[in-house]
Amino acid sequence: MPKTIILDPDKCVGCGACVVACQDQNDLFPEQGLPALRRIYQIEENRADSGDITYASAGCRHCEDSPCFVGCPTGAIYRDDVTGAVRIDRDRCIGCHSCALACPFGVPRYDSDDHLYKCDLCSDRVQAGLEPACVRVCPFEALRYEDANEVQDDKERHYLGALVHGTRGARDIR
Amino acid sequence: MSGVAKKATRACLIGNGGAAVEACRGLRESGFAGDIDVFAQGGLPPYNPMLTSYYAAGKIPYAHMFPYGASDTAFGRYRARVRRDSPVEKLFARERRLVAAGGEFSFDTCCIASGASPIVPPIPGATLPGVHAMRTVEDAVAVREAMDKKPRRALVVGASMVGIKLVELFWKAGMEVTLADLAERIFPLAAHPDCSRVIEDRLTAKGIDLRFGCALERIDAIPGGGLLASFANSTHRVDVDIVILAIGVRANLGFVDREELEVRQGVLVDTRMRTNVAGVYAAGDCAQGMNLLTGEPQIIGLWANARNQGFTAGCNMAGAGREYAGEILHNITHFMGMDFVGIGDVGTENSSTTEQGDGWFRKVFYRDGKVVGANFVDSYTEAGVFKNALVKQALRGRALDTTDTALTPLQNHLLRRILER
Repeated sequence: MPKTIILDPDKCVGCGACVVACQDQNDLFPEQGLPALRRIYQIEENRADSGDITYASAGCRHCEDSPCFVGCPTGAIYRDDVTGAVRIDRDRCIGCHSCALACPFGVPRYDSDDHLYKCDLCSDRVQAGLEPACVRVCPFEALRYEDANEVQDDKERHYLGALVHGTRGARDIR
Repeated sequence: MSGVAKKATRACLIGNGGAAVEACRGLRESGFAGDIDVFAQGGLPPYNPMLTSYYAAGKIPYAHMFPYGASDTAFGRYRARVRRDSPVEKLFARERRLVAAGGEFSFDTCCIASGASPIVPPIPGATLPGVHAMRTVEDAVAVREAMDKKPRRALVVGASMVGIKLVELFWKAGMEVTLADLAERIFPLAAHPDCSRVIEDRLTAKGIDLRFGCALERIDAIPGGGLLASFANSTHRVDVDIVILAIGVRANLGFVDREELEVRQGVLVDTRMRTNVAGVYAAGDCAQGMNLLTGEPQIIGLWANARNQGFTAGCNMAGAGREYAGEILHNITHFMGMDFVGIGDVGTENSSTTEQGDGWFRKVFYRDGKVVGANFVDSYTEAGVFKNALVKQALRGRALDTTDTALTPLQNHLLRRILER
């Protein structure tokens, strides 16, 4: 499975460095109606007693089974063979906003020409052997550019390790 | 119902639209090695009917109406043979044979993916020059040619998603536009009356002449040029240069024996796209799959639904056992600088909540305390989250709320913006 941008919500503090890096990398100017391709959400669980606040840096998930890809009436949305990114062919985009209704994460936004503009996993940087800009600047390594399955394995090992550690004093199982 | 066709060596596809292409993909990706014959209505490559109004409006070039490219590319990559200009005249489903282009063909498994056609009302003048439907590539070409003659006044009959795109086309060309419908308001099936009013006010402010509750009775050619449209319950007449009939579509099923195949508005299919006849499947705008919210079979004429149904049918024609549970009604229409979103069941609610702000409107519908749908105007950003959560939760038979652990914390957070603001 190709690598993708993955957030560890336990590490994100909502500093916004990723947002600025994204604007810089992609020449996006919010005052011209082009905000960054990542957004920071402050998530408050709606439990009055907890007061827990978490932050999430969110952008396109580049879903494996992308509903925007299936729902795009023109075939403008496609998958990059090299990076695995879900990308947009601007010439084919008709601005119908079908992808906005297809996306389960509320990602799509449109430029002044009414074309979808979206995260392409910094395909240019990645093909030059660099990390995506948002990952590169994240000061807490909350954003990583990795194989999603490996991250999931890591996570499972971590939780299993914590569980075993809690009961038997063992370290993470490797 | 049964339809496992592991040994099938000959698959037939009736129709050559998006559902048919996806069925070919499903067949091949599931290991089907036999022959695939595609019976095409005409000679064109598979096209998306939703794009034809964009071509008519000059927004896309001709080639962009065909998202899969040329026929040879679309079907050729799945080693399927396209029989152009070979509409199926008769299907003998139980005998597994069909008649098309003067010949008879037998098959082991078949998928009906014949799509739908615009309903043309049986009124005098419906076929006069200057009166157009809007569905096919031919319709789009005709309207575009008509636009070259610089018409000044247009009548669009049908306050539908297609109708409004044509209203936009004419309005942008600087024409005088009348939008008429038998219904009392715009988007009568997808919008709540409150939401219709918000849109109608905006259209009126942009100079569109709205005529609701009007049944088109006849169209007459005016000597010397122009068309005169008369309505059954009104003395008002509309004098125009071009008329668009966009009152809806009907499944193309003239070749089907309704004694043999179970048909309501479309061919009834189960979650594997099987019909009541073994080996025969259906997909796309002619198939009546499941509405997940109502639990009733319904034609949901959407590109993504057609593709998903087609792919599912293809996989199962090859014996793969793939499921596609169904869909919910959903639509986003972007026109004249605004977005209308309709999701789920509208009109069956027994309560609703409404919010509106500067330039946006939201209404969420509840039935027996459960969320069943929503209308948004210029508030699309969380619409996809809402729609997908509704599907996900309908599939599990639970009410939509904002604490579902099957959704991510971010999705629940975005849902709270709609449900708890």
